[in-house]
Amino acid sequence: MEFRPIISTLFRNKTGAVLIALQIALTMAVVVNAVVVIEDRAATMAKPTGVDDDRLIAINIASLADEVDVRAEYEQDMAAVRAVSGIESVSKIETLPLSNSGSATSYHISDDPTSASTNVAYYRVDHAALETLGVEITRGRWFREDEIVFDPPDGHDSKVTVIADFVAEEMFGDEDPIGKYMYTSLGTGIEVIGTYDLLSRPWYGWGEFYSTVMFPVVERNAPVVVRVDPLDRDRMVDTIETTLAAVDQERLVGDARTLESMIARTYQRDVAMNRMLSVVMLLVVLITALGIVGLASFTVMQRRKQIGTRRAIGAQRFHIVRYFLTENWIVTTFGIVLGLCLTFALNALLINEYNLPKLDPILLPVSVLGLWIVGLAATLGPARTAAGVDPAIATRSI
Amino acid sequence: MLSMDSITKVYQAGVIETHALRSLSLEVAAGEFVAVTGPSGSGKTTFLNIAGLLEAPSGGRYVLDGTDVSTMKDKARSQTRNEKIGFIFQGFNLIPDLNIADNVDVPLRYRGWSGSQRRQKIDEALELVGLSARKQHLPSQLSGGQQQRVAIARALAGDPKLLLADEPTGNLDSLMARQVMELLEQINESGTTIIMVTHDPELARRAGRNVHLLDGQVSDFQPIEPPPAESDDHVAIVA
Amino acid sequence: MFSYYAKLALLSLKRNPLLSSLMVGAIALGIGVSMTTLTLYYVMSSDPMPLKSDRVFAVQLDSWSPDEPYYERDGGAPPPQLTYRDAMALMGSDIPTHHATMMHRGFAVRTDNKDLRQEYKSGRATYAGFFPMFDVPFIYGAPWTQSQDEAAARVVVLSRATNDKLFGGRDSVGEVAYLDNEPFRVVGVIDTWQPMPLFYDLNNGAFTETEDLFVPFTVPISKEQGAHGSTNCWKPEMIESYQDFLQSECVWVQHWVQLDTAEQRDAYQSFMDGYATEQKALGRFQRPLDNRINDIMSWLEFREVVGDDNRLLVVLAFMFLVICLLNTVGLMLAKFLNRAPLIGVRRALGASKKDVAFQHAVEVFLIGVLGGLGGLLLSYLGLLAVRNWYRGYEYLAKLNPEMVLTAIFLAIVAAIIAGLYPTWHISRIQPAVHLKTQ
Repeated sequence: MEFRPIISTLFRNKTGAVLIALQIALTMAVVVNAVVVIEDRAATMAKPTGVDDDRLIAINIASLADEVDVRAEYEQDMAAVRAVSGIESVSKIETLPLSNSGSATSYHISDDPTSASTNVAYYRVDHAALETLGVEITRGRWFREDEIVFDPPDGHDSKVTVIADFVAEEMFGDEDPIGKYMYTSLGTGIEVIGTYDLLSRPWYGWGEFYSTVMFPVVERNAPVVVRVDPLDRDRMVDTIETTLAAVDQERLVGDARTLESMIARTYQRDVAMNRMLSVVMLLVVLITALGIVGLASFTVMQRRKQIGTRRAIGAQRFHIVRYFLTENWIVTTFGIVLGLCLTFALNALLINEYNLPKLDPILLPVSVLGLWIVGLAATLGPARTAAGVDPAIATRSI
Repeated sequence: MLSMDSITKVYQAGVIETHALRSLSLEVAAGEFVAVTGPSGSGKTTFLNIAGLLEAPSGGRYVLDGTDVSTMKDKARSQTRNEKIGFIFQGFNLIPDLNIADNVDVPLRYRGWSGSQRRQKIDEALELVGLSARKQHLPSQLSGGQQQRVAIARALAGDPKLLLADEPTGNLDSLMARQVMELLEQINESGTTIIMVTHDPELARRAGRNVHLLDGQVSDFQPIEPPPAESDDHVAIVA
Repeated sequence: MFSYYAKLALLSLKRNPLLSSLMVGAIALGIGVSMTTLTLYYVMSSDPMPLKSDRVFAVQLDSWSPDEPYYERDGGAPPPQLTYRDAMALMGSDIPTHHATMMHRGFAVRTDNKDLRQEYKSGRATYAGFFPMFDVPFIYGAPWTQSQDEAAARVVVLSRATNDKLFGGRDSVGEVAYLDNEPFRVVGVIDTWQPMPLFYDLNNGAFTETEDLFVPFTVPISKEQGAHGSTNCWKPEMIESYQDFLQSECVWVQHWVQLDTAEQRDAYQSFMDGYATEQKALGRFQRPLDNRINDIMSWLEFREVVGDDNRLLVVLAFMFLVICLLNTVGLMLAKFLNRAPLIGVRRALGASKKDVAFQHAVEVFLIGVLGGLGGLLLSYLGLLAVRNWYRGYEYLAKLNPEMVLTAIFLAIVAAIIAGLYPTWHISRIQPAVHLKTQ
């Protein structure tokens, strides 16, 4: 190939080439690092909650009365919702995964408050919650109906718990957790009666995502959580809210939402960030491509005579196209080499300043290939124009 | 009008030095019509560029209209060009985006005249070359001969003392060439000094005096036949 | 001469519309993207109370666990909120010009008007000092009094929007609103008031709306109610009753003070340290003395209100702007150089280098102005998109006049930077070189 003459031509018109190479380099640095951020967030958001996100609806209830018989209220609400057709299961559950409100505390492996402890987020649930949430029991058993405690005073949690496999391993390692006790920092023991597969915390970013336990407790004003068929879900939201509102006019019933909408809200900042980054990324590539098209067109315009001369002395159209593509490829490659350095520099800066993850090495060959393709695609149009230059132009002086 | 004394011009390209002019001396009196001839590479173009203050000489002294211009700075040179010199090019060099009147207007703009002053000058100049009716046309709408007449009008609009013409008829057919030549003679008769670089012996003969350049110097030897034209230097077609 | 060059610049832009729109577009995009991110950043990092942000302070007392600091960073920092008992002790000080302990809490609200459905409203329970300290504007009435604070009087201050909804916007002072079914007398209505960021309680995000209503802090305490916010505890203690909770080491209330002079600040610091030392004797405050007052801007910084995300976006956006500028430099250079023969003619006809530079500078300026206007439009669209994508950003994603000016200024500066080299380059060309070969 004709590398040497192309390179020497480039050296004589270096400004344009340098500008394109710089653009390619910066584009690479921006795109690769934006992808690192996007991937990081996407990986966080892709983690399953462990429940059937698309089947759940939650409705808030607040009774204003001074004294409420929480158990009677519970029975009433459950009966009312169960009477609605299309309900698969209904529960009162204190909070839901990724709903962004909930509680966490630490439990110890012995009654000595200095013993090893594990921080867990806890869910206070009724006995129907297993079916409502769609969590699987892996060992031991689930709560019996008579184990449910209604509206206990502060500090009086239940005597039994079902914990996540994750917590079982954290606290008891390979030992069978069933029948073991976990202790509050005041030394109260709670018996582990079962384990379940997966249930995420009500929030993310603080503590282990899957470090959760459940207690058989129904709190006053716990939200009603309903499991429905995903196809019926959206129209059920209002129906259930109306049904619950009709149970007792004195209560505030509202804020009925699907779990998916709660999760979307929890992640919205990340989603927005990813969208902004994606837009910036696309625009960067677009602008760089257009820049290459623009400069290549100019080069072609300026070299019409030279191109005509080449054609006149026997170059075929494809030779001309090849010439320009090769030229662009060389410039792009220079840019990419520079871009690799910039990418690593920027990544190092971002790791340092913004706790960004290290870039995935696979991104490099992909981005190199991508930039080559963008460069060649952007040059193709002007190169074909060049190939269309009339050889007769050589004999004229313009 | 113009006095050049031992003018030299050296172009440096890397390590290679090219001596385009070697000690060129020339006197042109006011009102003269001088034709400069010479073979390709003899330094005609360089001479014209230096005479027109487009390039500074590497050495020697150049006095134009009583002023030493060989060491002037860019601003003064530009001003002198604007006020004292008119250019006519082989390729016309009209500005394609501007209409005829606006093309003639270009040198007047740099002179900083008022609008009415400029309009009057433009009308006069276009009247002289017989193109008053085409004021609003774009150059591309005119024939080659008409374009060259616009270029002449542009060169004359600022009342230059010296008109420099570079192969003014090179791109024109013989009829148009004759018209342009007649126009130049008419301009010369009204007192403007003209220096014309040409290959055409017929054209050269019509000038009052012929100066022949050879190897960057004025040659005493006057050729009977001009050298054959070479494509890159002489033939030009407006694209 | 400027108008002549402006005309030439327009002609030049028209001559190659595709290229011109590419140049203008590149600048507009660069400006649009960087202004969108910059506006977000600007609002996030702006001063919510510029007139007195250096005189109003968030209080931090280090009552946390002897085993570990609340914040690990910077060698440890005290918790962002206070225990109830410590906040009450601070309320006993007469050093601050104004002070207020506060918490966020929701209320079910209705009036005697049966046509209106009972609704859940966000509220802030605080002290009377809240209003003068934060320069809260009143349209009707006034804050409640200190004695009403002490008596846990059932009085309420409504936001303008809440008053519009409950009382049709009339002067409702003296009327009754029911909060959780209990009658409260309206003592004041405040005007629209939205400090941004909402600095005084960052538990529920810094870019939320101000509360719908305000009641004395003592009211929820007397009703044994907690806060809707975040409660953090470190000490294993038996909490069986509300009184246990109030006496616990759990931090859950915010405390703000206005200290106008350096003397007040010094006095307050000694007061806090004195209190902490006193508590040490009682076995509390076992960490090294670290009690702080933070003015509003340092508080926002301490609580990291401007996310890393937003800084990162600004960095990337400005890299994007640089790419757009490189793009424009390339295109301008190509365009200008393509015109070299015509510039040669102009030079021959008497244009000096300066004239040529000026002519191109005007063109560059025009491109900058057009790019700036395009960039403004794109920033507007960008912010619209951001508002759409992120609900909490409604108050953030708005263009203000300063940002509009910044955008245009930035665009022109950007264009001039981009045009500097091409303009310099074109003004230096040798006219003679280009005259022969048009």
